[in-house]
Amino acid sequence: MVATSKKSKNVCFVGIDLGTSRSVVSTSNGTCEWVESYVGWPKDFVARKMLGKNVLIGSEALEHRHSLHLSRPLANGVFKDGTEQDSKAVKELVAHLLELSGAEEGDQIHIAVGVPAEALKINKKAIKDTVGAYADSLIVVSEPFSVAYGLGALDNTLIIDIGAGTVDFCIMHGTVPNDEDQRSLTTAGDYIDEQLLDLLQEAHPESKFSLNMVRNFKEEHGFVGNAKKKVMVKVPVDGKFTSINIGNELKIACESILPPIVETIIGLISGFDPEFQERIRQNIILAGGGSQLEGLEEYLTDAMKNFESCKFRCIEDPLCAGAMGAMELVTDMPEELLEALGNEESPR
Amino acid sequence: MPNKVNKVQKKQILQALYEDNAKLQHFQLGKAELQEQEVSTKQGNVDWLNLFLFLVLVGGVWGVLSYSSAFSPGLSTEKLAAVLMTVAPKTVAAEKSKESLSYPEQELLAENTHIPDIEITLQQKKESSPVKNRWGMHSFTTMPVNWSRVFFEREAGEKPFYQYEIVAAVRKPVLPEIILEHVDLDIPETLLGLIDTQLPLAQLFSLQVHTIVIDPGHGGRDPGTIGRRTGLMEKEITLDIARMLKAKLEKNSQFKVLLTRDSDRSVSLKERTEFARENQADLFISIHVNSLPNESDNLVETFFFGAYQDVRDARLAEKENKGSDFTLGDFTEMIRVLGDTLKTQESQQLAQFVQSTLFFNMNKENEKLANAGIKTAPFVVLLGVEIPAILTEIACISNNQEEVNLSESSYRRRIADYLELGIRGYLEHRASDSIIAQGVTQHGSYQ
Repeated sequence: MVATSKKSKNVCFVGIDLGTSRSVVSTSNGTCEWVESYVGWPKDFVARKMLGKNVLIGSEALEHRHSLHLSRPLANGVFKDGTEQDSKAVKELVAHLLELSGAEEGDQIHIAVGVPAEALKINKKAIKDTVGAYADSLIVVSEPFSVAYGLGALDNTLIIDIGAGTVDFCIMHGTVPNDEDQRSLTTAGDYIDEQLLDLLQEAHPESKFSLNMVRNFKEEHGFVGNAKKKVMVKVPVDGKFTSINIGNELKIACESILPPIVETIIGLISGFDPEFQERIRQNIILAGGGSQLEGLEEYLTDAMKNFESCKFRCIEDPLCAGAMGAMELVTDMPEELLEALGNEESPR
Repeated sequence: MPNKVNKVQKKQILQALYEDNAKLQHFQLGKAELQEQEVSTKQGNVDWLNLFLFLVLVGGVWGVLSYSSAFSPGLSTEKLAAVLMTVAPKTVAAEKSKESLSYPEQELLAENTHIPDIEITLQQKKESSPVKNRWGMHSFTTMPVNWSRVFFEREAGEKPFYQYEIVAAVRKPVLPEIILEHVDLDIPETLLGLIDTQLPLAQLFSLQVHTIVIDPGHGGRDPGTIGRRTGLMEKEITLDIARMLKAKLEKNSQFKVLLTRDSDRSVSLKERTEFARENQADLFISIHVNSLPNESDNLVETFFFGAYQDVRDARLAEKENKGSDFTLGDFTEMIRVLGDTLKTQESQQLAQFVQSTLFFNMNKENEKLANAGIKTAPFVVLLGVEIPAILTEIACISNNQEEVNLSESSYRRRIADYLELGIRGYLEHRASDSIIAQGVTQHGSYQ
């Protein structure tokens, strides 16, 4: 067993961040693994024979998408359509993440799973029902809160977790954040991809683009700010690869999610206790894959000047921070409370 | 800056997190108990009231909707189906004489006869001489026992054509929302006078819809109505459905769709209406969940602004208007808006499409569901916008089974589907080239 805990050798503490784009698992031995949030089932017996598997997960599923019934079961951090297939796909995804975590048959598994800041109780319940099948006890926790917990930034801090499906905001003030302390925006990483695809199709009608291609462009070259960058990428034109400059379109698409983020920061801080507003302004933490956009700290600092001077910082490991924080949380949870949250129907 | 917490605070945080999760567990238990109770109720009791209503329904199917058809160059099958969907959502199925039907008629028949509550009978009639290509409602007679008789006649075609007669039963509460189809502008005044018809101004001036604002009712400190057993809140349901509806409407269409709130936060009614104004919305759809004193009652109903019809509607409006920060001066100005014929006409029609589609589809999975129809009531959120605006009460959470259903994501998704269908039906109807005149409506009765 890879994952062990300080409480018992047979107990495994796992933090999971079920993301729209990527899902991450972290265990108490310090490992952090991630997988693209795709699940695919072979379309027919030919595909099954060719692939040699009944189900494919992550990049492997994406690679063979033409042979699969492909599912990206999470949207905005929760089940996309609430269908049986989505539920089945999330189960496969969680089983795969647990495999990556090193948890073994017979281990006692305690999981904390992150959900968007403003996930509804009914969404949380759906996640709990699905993931709970693999756990002896399960905690559902707001994603930005788990990031804050992992960083130990639990007081006078604003966490902004920029994911693919949602941008989650959470003001930490020494307790579990309530509804008024949290916000979720649904214009996040996926929205950038959609904008970029539209812009590129309009600017380069002779070229062929797919959502997956533009997502890779964004992740590799995404930037915001005043700089005019030349970003050369190769795309197929009439079956032949040609280099084009997508710098302008990339900048516009990446910046498209920032105005609502700025508005939400202002709204959240100005609604907070005035005596503590300045401390919050000096402690704004950017997490999630979207925080890796080049020039983001500078852009937001500049945009907030008209309001009040703010200090932003990006965390070092934005991809793993949520899952690691969730794992720390479930590890710290008193044993009696975990038992009280225990899942009697757990197969383990 | 200090942002660390001490051990005691950390313990308190973990305790609070535990309590949140413990509540989530109870949420699940409540639902399971509820389902068990539902099963035992069904096993133990005979539903005499519904049995009686069923017998009345069977006995009452005798109204006739008659329409004659031929090759119909100016009237699409979709529109024809929309007419039938609108006027006859509660009838009983049958069909005959499929042979010798032209393609549109066959398609129409296929589209409608699978619906268990519609009876459509097509009969070939003798060949008629070609006359003007026009649709019109010919006569209108109210019949007893909650059913009505409507007669449509079509004058059509240059080519020789066959006339067919569609016979269907029409339930009275939805009968007045009859849509009169014309493929040309030559509408005889006598015909219009017969049913007191008005031409919708938006159709006349070809006004377009670009921006749709969806308003998830309640939010933040205001939970709306709360499920007695599961604690499921109206604010959660409305937001979830609104998000789904937004995604559906945006898919493959040019509409800009906005939500008055995209998170669980308090938004006053005034802010909601101002949001619609600032964004130059063309349609406003407010989504709510009902709660009735009698737990066995379950209905869907859709409102547009106007005077209330009964005390229950007045109380509902009072409840939904709670938290309004409009002043008396605002009201005076808004009363002026009340006279806006265009808004009223379009709101009424939008309400009709949404209500018909919602009830028609939800009724297929829940036979006990009642159709309270479209109504007028003085909801502030509807008065505050100067565009077609409706408030739809999608379900009754006070009904135990409905509360269970609403806790299921797939059920909420289906409701979003039906709302989308209703809105799209209305938009497609508006987008048509033909002038569509609508009969003046009053309000459906709650049965």
